[in-house]
Amino acid sequence: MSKEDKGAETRETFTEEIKKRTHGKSGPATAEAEQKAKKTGKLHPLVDPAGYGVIRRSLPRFIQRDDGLWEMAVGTPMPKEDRLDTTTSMHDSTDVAIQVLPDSYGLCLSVLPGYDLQMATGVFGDIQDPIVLCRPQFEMTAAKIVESLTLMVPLRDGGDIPEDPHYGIFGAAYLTDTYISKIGLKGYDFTITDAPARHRLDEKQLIRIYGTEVFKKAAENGHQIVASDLPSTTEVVQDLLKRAHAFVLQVYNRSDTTEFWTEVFGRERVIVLPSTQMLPQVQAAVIGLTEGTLDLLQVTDFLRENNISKEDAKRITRSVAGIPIGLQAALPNFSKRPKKGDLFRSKTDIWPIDPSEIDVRAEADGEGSKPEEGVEWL
Amino acid sequence: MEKKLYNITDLGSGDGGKGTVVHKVATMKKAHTIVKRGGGQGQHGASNSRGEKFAFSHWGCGTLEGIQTYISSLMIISPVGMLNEALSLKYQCGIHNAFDLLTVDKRVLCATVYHGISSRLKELARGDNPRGTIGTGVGEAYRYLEHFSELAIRAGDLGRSDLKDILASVRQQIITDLSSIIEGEFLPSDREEAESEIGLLYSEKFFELATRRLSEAGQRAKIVDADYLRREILSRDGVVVVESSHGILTDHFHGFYPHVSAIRTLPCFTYARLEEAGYDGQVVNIGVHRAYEIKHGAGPMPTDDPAMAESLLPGSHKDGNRYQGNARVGPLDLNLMRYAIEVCGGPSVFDGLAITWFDQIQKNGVWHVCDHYRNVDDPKYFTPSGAIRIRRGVDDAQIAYQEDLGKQLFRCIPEITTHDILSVAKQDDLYSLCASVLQENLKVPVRMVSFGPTERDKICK
Repeated sequence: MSKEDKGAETRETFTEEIKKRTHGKSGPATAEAEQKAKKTGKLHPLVDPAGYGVIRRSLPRFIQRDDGLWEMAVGTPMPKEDRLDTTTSMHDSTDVAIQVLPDSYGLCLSVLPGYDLQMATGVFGDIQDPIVLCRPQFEMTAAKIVESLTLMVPLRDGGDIPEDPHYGIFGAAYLTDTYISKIGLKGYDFTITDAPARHRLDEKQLIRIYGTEVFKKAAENGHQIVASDLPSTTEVVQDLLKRAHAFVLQVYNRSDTTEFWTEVFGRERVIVLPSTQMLPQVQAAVIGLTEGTLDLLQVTDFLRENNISKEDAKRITRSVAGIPIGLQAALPNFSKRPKKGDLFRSKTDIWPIDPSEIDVRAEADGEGSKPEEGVEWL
Repeated sequence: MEKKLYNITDLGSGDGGKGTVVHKVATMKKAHTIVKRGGGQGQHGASNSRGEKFAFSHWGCGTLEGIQTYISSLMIISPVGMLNEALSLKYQCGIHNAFDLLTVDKRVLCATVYHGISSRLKELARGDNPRGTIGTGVGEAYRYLEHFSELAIRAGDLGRSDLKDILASVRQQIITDLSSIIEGEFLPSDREEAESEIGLLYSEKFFELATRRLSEAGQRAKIVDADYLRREILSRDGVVVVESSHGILTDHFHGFYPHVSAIRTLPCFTYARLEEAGYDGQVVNIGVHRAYEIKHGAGPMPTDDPAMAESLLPGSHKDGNRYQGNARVGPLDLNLMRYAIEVCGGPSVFDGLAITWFDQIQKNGVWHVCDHYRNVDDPKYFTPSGAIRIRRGVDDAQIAYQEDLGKQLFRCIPEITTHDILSVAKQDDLYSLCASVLQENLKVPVRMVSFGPTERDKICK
């Protein structure tokens, strides 16, 4: 079994990984990546939105058995994509995200029992900036999640208002391929910002960010996007909502920010985030409520137990009260989702095989481990 | 169940579509292992009927189905390329455990990033007289092995504590050897790229990174002893598929110099390795070729016909690169195929042919085939019937002969026969047409015709 098939990570492994990557270094953990990007104008392929075939995939982890069946190693993959604003007052959001990562992972996992949590935490800036978006892969090990975060290139200063997270949301909507949506459930998507975005996308910017094949890749992923008639940000969000429970976590309380995102996402999906430090707790509350692993009466206690002040806990509870509670649990296939140990005939099958089929197969195989002969030919 | 080994050989310049044939044979025959030989720079594309696809370099074309890959001592790898390929397998295909599916013979030669830089700088220095290279340094690593064997890095060396020192020596030797190129002129369009390559050559940070990555590859790959092939793979019941890079027409001594690979591509080298390992199972030899002629970059190609580029490679014929050059296409050249078969030992060596990309012929409604050339009067290079003469040798005289033969081929005028394909023709009819034309001309039976990228698109008889 490979290291990556061993299952969920722990907070401790995250803490250790962060220590490993930051020990003895001065400045932020992203300093090296920032320097490189400044010098070359390029992102590391792991976080470049155009890297590794453009499409981000969240797929099950399988172990192939001797009988040719594929065993789900951890559980149904649960993708969680975050995009953090890194402009002006949120210049240190990446540093904070790294700092709170053990809690982010631990708390999310606690409300997602049985899932294979796969995280992609990216950052965004402004189209006027050299780097508009860093979009990592969905990762499931502490080492890779931490590595991805340290490869981010936050804008830190500059930027204007509005900002441009809608280019990242475009990728989430059209350039993401997730197993969970194939079984009729949804992953999670969070935009963390204190500023409004724009209503329109620009073809040239999409090509600049995702590469010249952006529309071909979207089509390959099942979305016909016409360059001359790009969807509005509202339309992109509507498409995103088909495959993800998507939310905006609004830091601070600029009224134009609330107004913009409420118009685009709907009131129930714009949630107050008193500070980026509280990202793990707020995300876990939102996910727990959507999954049905937390109920509204438990939220304040959950937050309090996880180091949120009484006042902030109340604010957050009020804010999350309006989200579509239990929406994931209400989806038809929720209780049918595959779990660790389920067997699949092929690793691209959507559903595992019925256990009764395995017995029939074993009987038919007779001599067990003897290699199976292929068809007659030469 | 008996032991059986399918040896897949590209009878052209290496673009025959081996990847899909290896994938088909490996899945159809339920192979337990794919043995790789050649260079780890190729891009063997494989697609399956489940919608997965990938261009493999180090891993075998059965990886999507979970089939193990063994990299034999007849392969040259790029350890950094291998790490990148594992990441691509993970992110594009969800294969999280790619290294669990791979074993590497400890004797495998490694191409380093500096061999890659050397290869690319040499090609850039050729200006508008390209030789053509993939530019990953695999050939360069082989050439360095011949001249500076003490600088060779083998897979078994990747865990050595003095790896950094060896890599430093490799870099220093390459800097010395490239001195005139570094100080020389490049085409204006290549200048920026050349400067960037030279910058990397001297960069200490890049050197540190290169050392770390080499060492990481050594830690992640399962590197096995020289007896592993015999003990764990060839002694097992079941099917093994040998997947080779390149093609017969790029063999170092039988290709057309200078448009050749540094390595040997003939199947006899596979047989020798099998014999050495005491293999006692059945061997089935399959020759692969497209239904038309194709070659990337420069070099002789008598049937080259730029007018056919769009019809044979619709939408993709301009997808070349600076080092490899654009793809050129033309009618299927039976004369070159006969040459390749003879170089390998003649028709009796092959149990069958696998002809790929016949779906494109079907779409075009016409199949152009060249059976012989005109302008083949020089008896030194051509037989009275117009076939290309084979000269065998492994020395400078052989290379000089092959270079001259290449020049002769540039002067040949192909005679083309055209077969019309009826729009109502079924795939079985097309299989029969393909089989009859090739059997008659090459004396090797056609056993597979491909009508698309996946295993389900291939008819085997």
